[in-house]
Amino acid sequence: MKKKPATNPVVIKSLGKYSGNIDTAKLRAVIREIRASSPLEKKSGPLRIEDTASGSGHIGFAFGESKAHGKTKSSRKRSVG
Amino acid sequence: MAKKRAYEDSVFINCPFDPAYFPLFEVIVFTVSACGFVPRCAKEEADSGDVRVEKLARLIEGCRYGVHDISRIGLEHDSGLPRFNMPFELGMDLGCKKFGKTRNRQKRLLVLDAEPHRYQAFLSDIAGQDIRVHRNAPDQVIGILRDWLRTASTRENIPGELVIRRRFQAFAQALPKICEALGVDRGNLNYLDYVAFVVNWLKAAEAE
Repeated sequence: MKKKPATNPVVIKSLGKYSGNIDTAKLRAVIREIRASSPLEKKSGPLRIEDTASGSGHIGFAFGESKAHGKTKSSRKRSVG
Repeated sequence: MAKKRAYEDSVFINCPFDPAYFPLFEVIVFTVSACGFVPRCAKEEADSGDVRVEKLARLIEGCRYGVHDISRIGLEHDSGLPRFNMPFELGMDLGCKKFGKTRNRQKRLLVLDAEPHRYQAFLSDIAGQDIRVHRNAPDQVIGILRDWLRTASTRENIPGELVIRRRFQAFAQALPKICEALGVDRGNLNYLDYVAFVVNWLKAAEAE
């Protein structure tokens, strides 16, 4: 039996002007497929930097630019943020 | 009416945009979305031809909530100088709250830092604001942000911290696969694509 959530369902909202070039129907299908094929939302314990997609080195953002203290250096020169 | 709703749902995110901060940035965007709000930041629009401060002013004026992380106070590696953008944008948001339109007087702002009381040494004028310490821990960021949004908005349908954390962990594991399946360069994700992935992931999670 499906467990009843502690709170009423939250409505997930978007900006409403997605201007990327990814087909939303395809994105939904991909997400559905990945969610169906992977063990989801089971892991517990503290969330560490390494548990994030970028902290584990699996993804990076296109706007990754300057870094204080010189620990990380991007190839891009212009610095923002 | 739609504009009012968009304003009430929008959360302006002012944080460092550098690789060391990416993990917390991921968490902030995800948590804001998971709580039913819309994350907004300067990266949602291209920089082309726009006066940066105008873009920031437009964003800040259009968001009821503001999350400002002022933890990046070190010196830049290349220039040997500190960055003032985050405190500057916090100042713009405080100014908007003080001097802006009627609706802006009800703005709610959260200030984040990595260490307790440190702001007193470099930005003591913000004493009295809602300042929380995350210690660069994703867990802390989720908890602080979730609880603050719950309190500031008084909305009752905001999921619990553990729910958000579990959802984030699952999403973070799946994100490289999502990128691969869609042919997106996972080393160069742009902000709008990341938000689209988060939103659609959360919608799928809510529907199950």
